[in-house]
Amino acid sequence: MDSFKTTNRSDDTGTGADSGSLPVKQSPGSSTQVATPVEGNTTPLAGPGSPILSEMPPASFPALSEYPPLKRSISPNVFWLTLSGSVMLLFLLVPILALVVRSFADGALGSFLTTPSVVQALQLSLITTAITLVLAVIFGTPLAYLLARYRFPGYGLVDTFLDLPIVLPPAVAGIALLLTLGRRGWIGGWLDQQFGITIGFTTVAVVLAQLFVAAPFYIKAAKAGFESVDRNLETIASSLGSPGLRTFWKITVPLSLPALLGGIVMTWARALGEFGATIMFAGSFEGRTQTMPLAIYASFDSAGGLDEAVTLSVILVVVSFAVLLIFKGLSRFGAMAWNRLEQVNLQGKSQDIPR
Amino acid sequence: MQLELDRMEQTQPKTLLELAIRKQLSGFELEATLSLPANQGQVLVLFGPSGSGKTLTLRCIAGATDPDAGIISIGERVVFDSRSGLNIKLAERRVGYLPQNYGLFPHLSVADNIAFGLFKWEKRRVESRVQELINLMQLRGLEKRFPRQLSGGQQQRVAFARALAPDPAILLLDEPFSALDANIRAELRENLALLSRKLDLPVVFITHDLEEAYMLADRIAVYERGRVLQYGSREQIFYHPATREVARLVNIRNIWPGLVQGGVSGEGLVRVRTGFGSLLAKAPTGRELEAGSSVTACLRPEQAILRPAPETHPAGNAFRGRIVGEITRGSLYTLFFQVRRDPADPQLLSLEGTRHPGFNQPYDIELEVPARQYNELRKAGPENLLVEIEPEAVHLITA
Repeated sequence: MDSFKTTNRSDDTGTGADSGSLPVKQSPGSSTQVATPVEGNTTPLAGPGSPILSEMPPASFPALSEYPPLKRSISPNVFWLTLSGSVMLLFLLVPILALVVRSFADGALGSFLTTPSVVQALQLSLITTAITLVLAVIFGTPLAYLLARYRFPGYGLVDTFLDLPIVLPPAVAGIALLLTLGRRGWIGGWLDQQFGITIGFTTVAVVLAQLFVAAPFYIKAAKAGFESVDRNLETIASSLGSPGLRTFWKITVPLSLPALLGGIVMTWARALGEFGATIMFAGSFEGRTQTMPLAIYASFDSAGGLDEAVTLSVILVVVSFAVLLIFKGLSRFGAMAWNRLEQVNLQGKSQDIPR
Repeated sequence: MQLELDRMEQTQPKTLLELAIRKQLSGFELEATLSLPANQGQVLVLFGPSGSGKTLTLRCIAGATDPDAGIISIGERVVFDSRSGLNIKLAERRVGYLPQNYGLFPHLSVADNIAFGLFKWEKRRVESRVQELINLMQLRGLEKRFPRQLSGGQQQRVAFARALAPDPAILLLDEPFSALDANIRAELRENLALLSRKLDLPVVFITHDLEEAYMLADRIAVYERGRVLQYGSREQIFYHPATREVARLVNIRNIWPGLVQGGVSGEGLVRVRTGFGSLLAKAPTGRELEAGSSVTACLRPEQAILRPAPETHPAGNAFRGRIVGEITRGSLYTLFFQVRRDPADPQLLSLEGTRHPGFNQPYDIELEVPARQYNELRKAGPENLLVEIEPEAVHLITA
């Protein structure tokens, strides 16, 4: 017999018979314990080849084919969510609709589309916002990367400072810009005396006003985008011999592209709508500083100018909507499209490119 | 093979890696001195619990982190020297660095990932090199996939291929297999051992898995709390740990405190009194052990021999007793053996062995026995069991 167990218990059961298979023992009190004392009751379990299927109890349910499919109904949660959501959506949608309808109703759209002041305003808006965007990306990207990758004394202060133009009323931005770059401002005064250059009330001032209020949107978004890129990936890229700029271009930018595009859209939208800072710092001169928002206000303010204002507004709505759609589409392609441009071609063809 | 032809070292360097570094972080200090001579193999394993400084050491070698002071040379090339201010940038160190999560570029296909480090190469050579690595790492058919469409093991192999592509001088791996299933892990582990030899490439490898360390290592550095506790061959580390900490870290299950009773003349053996009896051990070479001095005796569980106790008690290290607990691993049994105390030695009777939370009785010796053998022993059903220990298997720590 199995006298292997040195306990004094005499009621050892079944140890001789099942010693060929893997003995599974249960310790008293705990079934999950891995370590098992030999002094436990020895319960032989089924061996590895036991017929589990045959031990299944007979089914007490009807056959599966007898069940009808579940009837689906709209849950009350979804109903209330839809109802309250619709209210908000309508509030946002109806004014735009009113604008569009009005512009068509009088045939005003057609007649004003070719008016020089309207065309000029649209041109000016598109050109200035484009320049603003380019400047924001060129000068904002290094700053965003710096803030995303390094910590330095006063970091929190700088970070908060970036939020300031977002929070400040544009009128404050306008005054601040006048004090800096206006003819009698710190830098503006010096430029005026030394070179005879005036910035205030020129197209340059329009761009600067837009840049001041809109660039932080890009910088913030780019910073968040860069932060979301695993630093390890940059480290690996470097370890593969890739210089810093190439790593940035090939790894960091593609991977933060959705965030960068988001920031670009926000910046562009903010610049396009810029009114307060522009009117204070650049004035409202037709063809020179009168961008779309300024032109809308100017027509609205003049006698019988409502139709022109409506036309300008609808143009702005259409342009904005189109740009937003394009950018949405772009960020969906995202990083993949970016790198499709330059791929290694291998002779050994493999499966289709999976989406 | 192309890869071998590409290797640039014409003359074999004397040391593959040498470093002495110090790095202070908040609440942690790393101090490590290691050297991997060319004639002692080429796989250096950094072993130790997490947070002991292994990864930091690896990052310092790679150039991803700058040490505060010290010197690092890869091959014969000094890449960091705080005396002269030399600090070769990560991009110019020619290291193949694999961090823990592989770090594949998620927006690049397998082929583009592998080709990433080959940007200075001619286009045609890039293509053939990528193809070569795809064949080597058995990634055929996956060229156009993106990392998220790959299994863990495939991702791992792509990361290897990418690291190898620009022909690095050294491969630095941070727990490369930790996230993989056991069976894939074993396969890749074997591949790595073969690959390192095939490519003649020094490898620094981090792991906290003992089996992995033993399988792959030519040299092992045991880390704890920012220090290298012991550095040596795997036999030294696993069977002759320098300190009790190392013995504990390398999972020597039997660590018995003892007192030297005296030498056994002419046999190079020493008698050590432990809590369960007198144990013969091989005397450490080059050190005289005085009677009465305290030592620690170590024994790996697989080195003890379990058999039915014979009628007459054999000479040497033989202990009668019984099994008080067992843990099965399928093919292996871990057994917990309680030595029957010598009634002639009243002092021993009062000494209890180690307590295991799962068992009622204390034990003295942990053994590892193949399941077959244990089942045989069980069938024979001996009243008493005997554990025999070769004196040569017992390692004494005198420090």
